[in-house]
Amino acid sequence: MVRLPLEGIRVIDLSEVWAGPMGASLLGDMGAQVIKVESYPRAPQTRPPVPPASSLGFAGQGTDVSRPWDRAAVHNMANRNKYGITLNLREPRGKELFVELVALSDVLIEGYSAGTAERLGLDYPVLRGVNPALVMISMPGWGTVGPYQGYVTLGSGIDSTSGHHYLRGYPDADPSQTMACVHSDAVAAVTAAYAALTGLFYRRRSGRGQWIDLSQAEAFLPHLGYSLLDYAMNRRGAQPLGNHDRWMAPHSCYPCRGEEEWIAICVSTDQEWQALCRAAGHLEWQEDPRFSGVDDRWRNQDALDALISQWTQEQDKRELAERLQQAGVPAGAVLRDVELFEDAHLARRGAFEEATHKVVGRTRNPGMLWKYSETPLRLRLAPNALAEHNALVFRQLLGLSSDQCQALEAQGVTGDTYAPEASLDARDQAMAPAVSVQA
Amino acid sequence: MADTVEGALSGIRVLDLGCGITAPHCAKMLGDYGADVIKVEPPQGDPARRYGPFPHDEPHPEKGGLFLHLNTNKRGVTLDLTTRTGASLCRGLAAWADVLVENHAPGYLASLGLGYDSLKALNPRLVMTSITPFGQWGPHSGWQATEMVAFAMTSRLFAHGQPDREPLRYAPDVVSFQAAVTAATATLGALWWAQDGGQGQWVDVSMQEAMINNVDSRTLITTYSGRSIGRRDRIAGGGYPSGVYPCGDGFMLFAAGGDRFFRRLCRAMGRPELLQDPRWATPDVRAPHKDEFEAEFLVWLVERDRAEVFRVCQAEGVMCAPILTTDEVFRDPQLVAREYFQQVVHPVAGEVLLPGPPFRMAETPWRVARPAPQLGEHNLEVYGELLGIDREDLVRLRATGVV
Repeated sequence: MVRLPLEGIRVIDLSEVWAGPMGASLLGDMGAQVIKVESYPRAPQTRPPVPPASSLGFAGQGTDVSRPWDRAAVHNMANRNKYGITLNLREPRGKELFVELVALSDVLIEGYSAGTAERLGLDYPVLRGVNPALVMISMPGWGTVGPYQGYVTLGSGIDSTSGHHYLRGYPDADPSQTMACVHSDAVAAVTAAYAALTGLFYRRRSGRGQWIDLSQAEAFLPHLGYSLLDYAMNRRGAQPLGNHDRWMAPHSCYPCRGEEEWIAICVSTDQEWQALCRAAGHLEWQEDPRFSGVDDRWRNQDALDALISQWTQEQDKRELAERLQQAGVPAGAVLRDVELFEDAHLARRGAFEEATHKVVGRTRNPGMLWKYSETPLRLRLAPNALAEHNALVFRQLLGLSSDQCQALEAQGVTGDTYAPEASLDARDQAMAPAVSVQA
Repeated sequence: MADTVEGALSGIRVLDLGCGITAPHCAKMLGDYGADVIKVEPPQGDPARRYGPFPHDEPHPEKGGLFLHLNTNKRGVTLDLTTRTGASLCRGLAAWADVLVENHAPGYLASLGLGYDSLKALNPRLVMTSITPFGQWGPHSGWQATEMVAFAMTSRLFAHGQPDREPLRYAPDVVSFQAAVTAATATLGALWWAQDGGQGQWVDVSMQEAMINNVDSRTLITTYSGRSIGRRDRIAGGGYPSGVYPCGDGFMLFAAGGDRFFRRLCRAMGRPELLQDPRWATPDVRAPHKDEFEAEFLVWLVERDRAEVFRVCQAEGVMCAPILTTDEVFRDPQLVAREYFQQVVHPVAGEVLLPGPPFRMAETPWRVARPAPQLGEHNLEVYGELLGIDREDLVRLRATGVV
C-alpha cells in the first residue's frame, strides 16, 4: 500500500466540539497518527452522558441506547481517522501521561478558551520543555491574548463578531431572523490543519517547533475581504444581499414544482442570459428593455426574479438544472441532505464512505475533502468510541502494564464510561452546541 | 529577492495560474507564510482586477480591493497561455515550481498542453492543485457554476434560512475562500509527501465536496436518524436562551442553552434568585416557562448595550457574542488590541488596509513582504531570472501579444 503523506507524524488532539477535532481529523485523513485525548470524568459537550431529549441525530438502534456518548452524529462527524483515549488532566498522574504523550508527538492542537491550558499547567512553555520540536496550535475563538481572553464561544459567536451573521441575513429582515451558522468552524478546521503543516515545514528545515496562536475569528475574516475592503476604502458598511449578487443578475434561488423544491440560477453574461431565455421558451424576455444588458438586469432584478419564479415553479428542479446546464446556463438544484446520497456525481466520486463504528455499527459517513492522485485518502478509522484505544495507547505507546492500566481506572485517571451527571447539561444541552440554534 | 525574513514556507516555489478567488487565495495562503509565488495573468489581467471595491468607486485595474487582498506576496507576470509560445514559457515556469495552483475548467489546461500528465513528465516532483466547483471528473465535472450554484448542491443552502421563506446563501465569496484554504491544506500535504521521498501529485479539490464533508453534521444526522431534516427541524435541545436577542444598541447571539449556562446567565443578570423560583429551579420545569423568562431577560438586555452584555455575561462564562456590522468589526476591541488589520502601501492604490494573519506563528511571521503585483510588473525579472529571456526577447513577446 502507498504510504500516506503524513505517515510518521503523531498529532495530539486536545479539543472539543468541531473546529479543533475536524482540523485534527484532516491531519488523520492525510495519514498522521492522531490521538484524541478526551475529557474524563467530565463529558465533552458533544458526548451526551444520557440519551438526549431529541432523537434527531442520535443513533439508537431500536431501544438500544447504551453508551449514549458514542451515538451523537454531531460528535462522530468530526472525529474520524483518529485514536481516542480518556484522561483526567486535573489528576497529577493524568497530566504526567499527557506530557509523556506530547513528548512522543509532533503536533498538539488545543481548542480550549484562552488560559485553560495554562491553568492546567500544560501551556506551551511547559510542553516545549519536554519537546522542543513540538508544533503546538492554540485555537480559542478570539485568540490567546487580548481583551476577550478567556471568553467562551461556539462557531456561531465567531460568525457574529466577524460580521458574517449580519451579512448573510434576509435583506428585508433584521439579524434576529437569521439563524445561527457554524461555517466558521469549517474555516477554523482547515486553517488549523494548514497551520500544523506550516509548522512542520519550518521544523523540517530548522529542527525547531513553535507555538501558533490561531484566533478562529481572525482565520475567518479574510473570507469576508470584499466587504472589509469596501469599508476600509469607502467607509461603506456592507448590507446583506440575500441571494442576490454584487453584479450578476438573475442570481437567486427560485421555487420549483413540489414542496420546498428550489433551483439556483446565476447568470453573469449576455450570452448566458440569451441561453436562459431560449431554454425557458420566453423569447420575449430577450426583447424586454428592462433586461437587455447586464446592468439593466441587475437594476431590474426583482421584476426579473418574479418572472423567472413563475416559470420555474412549474418545473422539476433536477430536470431543469440539467436542461439549463446543457444550454450553458449555470444552475443547480438546491439539494437536501438525503438527496446528496442519491446524487450520481457524488456517488461516482465516493463522496461518502462506509465505516463500522464500534457502538453505532455500520453507517455511511462524510468522506474526504479532496482527492490525491497518488496517495488516495480514505476513511481508515471509523469515529472513535469513547476510550476505544486506551489500551493501545497506554500499553503500546506509553509502555504501561495491564496492572498499571487498571490502576489508572481505579484512581479515576481514566475510564470508559461517563456517569449520568458527567455533564450538568446532559438533558437539554447534549445536542445544542454543534447545531444551528434556531429560535 | 530582498526578502530576508524567514517564513515557515520559505524556499517553496509556487506558480499561481488562477483567476478570481479560489486559486489566488490558495497561493496567497502559501505566499503569506513565506513561499515564493509567481502569479501568471492573461495579458488583459485577472478578472478579479475588475471586481472592486474601488476607492471612491472609480474602477482601476490596479486598485481593486479584492484583487489587492488576494494577491499579496506574489510576483506578477503576464502570459497568453493560448499561444504556443505562451504555453511553452508556462512549461518553463512549471519546471521551476514545486507547486502549481489553478482553477480553470477541467480539461482547459490539458487542451493547451499544460495538463497534469504533461507537466509531470517535465517535473515529476510538481504538486498540481486544481480547484473547481465539482472536481476534475464525474458526471457534473463539466457543469458551469458560480459559487451559489455549487453551494446549492452541498445541501447547505437548503438548510440555511427561515423555515417559511426561501433558502438563503451565505455571504458572497465565503464558499470560494473555504475551497481555497482547503486546497492550501491539501497542497501542503501533497508537498510534504513529495519532499519526503515521494513524488508530485495532482490534487483535485471540488468546492462541493470540500463543503459537504467539512463540519456541519447534517449528513450524518440524516444517516443516524433515517430521515431528512429540514430548516424547520430544531436540532438543538430545549435549553434557553439560545438564539438572537435585541440589546440597547443592536443584536446579541446567545448559545447558552443548558442548565450550566442558564445558571451562569442568572448570575450575570444579577438575578440569582431566579434559580430559587419553582419555574426555573430545575431544567425539567423550565421549558413551559420560557416566555416568562424571556420577558425578564429582554428587559435586562434592552437596558444595556452589547459591549456591556458581552462583558458581563462572558465574566460568568455565558456563551454569547455581539452581532457586528462591518464597520463595527474594524472597531472590535479584540481585533484592535491584536492589531489585526494591516496597512499595506501599494504604488498605485496607495495605503490599503487588508485583513491580517489567519494565525500567528511565534517563530516565523505572517507578513506582507510585497503588495499585489501590477499587471506584468515582474515580467522582466521573472522571465529573465528563471527562463533566461532578455529585454530584446521580451519586446518581441510583447509585440506578439504573448506577454
